[in-house]
Amino acid sequence: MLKLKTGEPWVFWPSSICDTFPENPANKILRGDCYFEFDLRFTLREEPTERKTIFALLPKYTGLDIHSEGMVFAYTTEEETSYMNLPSLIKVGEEVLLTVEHQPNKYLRIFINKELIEEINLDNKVFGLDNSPHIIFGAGNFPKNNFNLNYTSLDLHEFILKGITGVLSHHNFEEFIFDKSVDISGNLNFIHKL
Amino acid sequence: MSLQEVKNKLDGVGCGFCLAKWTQVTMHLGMGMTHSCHHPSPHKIPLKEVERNPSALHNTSYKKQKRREMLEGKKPEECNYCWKVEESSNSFSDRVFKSSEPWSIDQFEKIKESHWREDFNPRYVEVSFSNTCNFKCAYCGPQYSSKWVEEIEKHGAYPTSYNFNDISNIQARGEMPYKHSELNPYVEAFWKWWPDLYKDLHTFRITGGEPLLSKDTFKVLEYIQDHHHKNPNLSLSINSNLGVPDNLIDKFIEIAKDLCENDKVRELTIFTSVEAKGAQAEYTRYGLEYDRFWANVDKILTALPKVTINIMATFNALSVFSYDELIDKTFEMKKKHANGQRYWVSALQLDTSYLRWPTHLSVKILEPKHKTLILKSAEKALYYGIKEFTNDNYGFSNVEIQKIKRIYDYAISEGDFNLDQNRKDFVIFVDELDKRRGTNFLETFPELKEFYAKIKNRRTVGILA
Repeated sequence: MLKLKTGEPWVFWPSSICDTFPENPANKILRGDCYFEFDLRFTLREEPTERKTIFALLPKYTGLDIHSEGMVFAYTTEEETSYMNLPSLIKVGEEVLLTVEHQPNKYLRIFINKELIEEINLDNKVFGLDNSPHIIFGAGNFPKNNFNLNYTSLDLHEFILKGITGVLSHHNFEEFIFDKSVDISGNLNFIHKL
Repeated sequence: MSLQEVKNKLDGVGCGFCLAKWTQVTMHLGMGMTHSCHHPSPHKIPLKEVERNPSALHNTSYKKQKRREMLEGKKPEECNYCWKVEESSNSFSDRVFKSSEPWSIDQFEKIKESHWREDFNPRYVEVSFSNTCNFKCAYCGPQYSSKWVEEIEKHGAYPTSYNFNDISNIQARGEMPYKHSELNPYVEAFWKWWPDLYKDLHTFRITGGEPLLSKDTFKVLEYIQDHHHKNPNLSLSINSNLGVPDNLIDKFIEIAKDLCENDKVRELTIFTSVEAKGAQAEYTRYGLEYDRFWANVDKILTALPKVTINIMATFNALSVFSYDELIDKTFEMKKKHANGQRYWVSALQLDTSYLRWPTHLSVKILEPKHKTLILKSAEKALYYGIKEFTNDNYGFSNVEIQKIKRIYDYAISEGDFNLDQNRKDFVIFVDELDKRRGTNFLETFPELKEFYAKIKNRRTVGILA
């Protein structure tokens, strides 16, 4: 398990350290023209008295925020960023399985504990395109940018990213090397501390 | 100035024009050889020329003819490496890269306007005073190691298919180094030229042999201590195997402290080598005491808080089984000595290159299961990587990681490589090495027991047949 402290987010961005290694960094599929699905098992540690970010897919912002009244899911297409209010299904101290599934030009689905809570129709829309997308856990932005941070204390239990060929990255957050969670799929798609 | 702009400038003078022919030199004084840039082979410096003009250590009549060709729009044959790159791709050749170095490009106008007969003081100089060395690394030879000379004089060449380290070939080419006890006129010429050369230098690097065993190295260092005001911006580099007696290491540290603390040089970098761990490293770099090597790295980085040590690792077939542990050790030292005040960001750099020669020690001789270990090493370096390579960070840089990964790519690449012959030569080499040096290959490399037996068996069967 990885305990994310407030103000110390981690990031899934395996292409950020070395230009050519891993050869096919999995973060590259987090874009509008690729199929992807990720599972994030986590536990919220503190009451969201103010807005908190569970995860944020950048730079075309897509993320899940939680606040005292409920949740907000934001997603960005090539045209715009949209916001959806959702009921709060995440409780402090309870383990949650969040799943996000993207089918290019078809849909973006959000599941909580395997229950579909929202399906966004992507007919005639292209989910955000970028050459180096990445996911921040426990913040809405990089600390150095100093805005939209919404730091969150989270326990991360598991992260699995799948593409059309199957599992590309799998973290159970049990093995760490130099502030990096080891990708147990063996694909070198690590998650590292910012 | 962009690389394209540099290329345009060079091409404006001639399609074969390269500033390195003037601004850069490597002088192998032990052998009396010189070359500008590492692509053209070194050529012999005529003694008559240096007697008349010590700067002929760089400005030989041969090299001047090549400069003439360059100034007259021709492409010297010896620089073929670059012409091939330029003809076969749109990439910039080393002619452009080397000319674009700040210490080179700022000489453009002066060189362009010069006559080809003129002498020119180089800005980037590498010098080897002699081949005196207390090591005889498996991939080295008599030109660069006096210990190798002793061994070959006693036992002859290695009985590989191409008589590895045959001294008669070296003698025939006139490349036999002067012995330590002999007076070397090239070194004499160097000292005549040095006061004039020093003031124009951007970078000065002492290689070997083992530089710390040469009195000329300390003479240079002491000269800089006393004359630094003539060139306070010198970038100084010294190679060392860090296996010399303690008193020499201590003497070097004492001088280096003065140079660094009193800003008598712009920067000081130490280059060393190791490419495996423990007994396996000691087998490859015969003479190395692995633990003492690291104790000296630690000692230097502690005593010299501004200095960076660069490990030039010549990755070879004997590196694969312990390179990952070398990476661990390097990381440990990077972490321990990160202080934010070094000339270079990292206290210790691991610069991994693949061994091309001798081919019987190339990683290409290995089996696929061995080669995957190289990939594992690269993976470890990646996990030790850092995104932002700044003074506040330590860890492996993008380049350090890529260069290890590149070894794997090289190892598995298809190409013109005589696998069978090189494997046979490998076994002949280690057998002979063990016989001469009293080492035990199979005890040191149990991971290669099966591999060795397979080749040995095939070889024996071949001989019987």
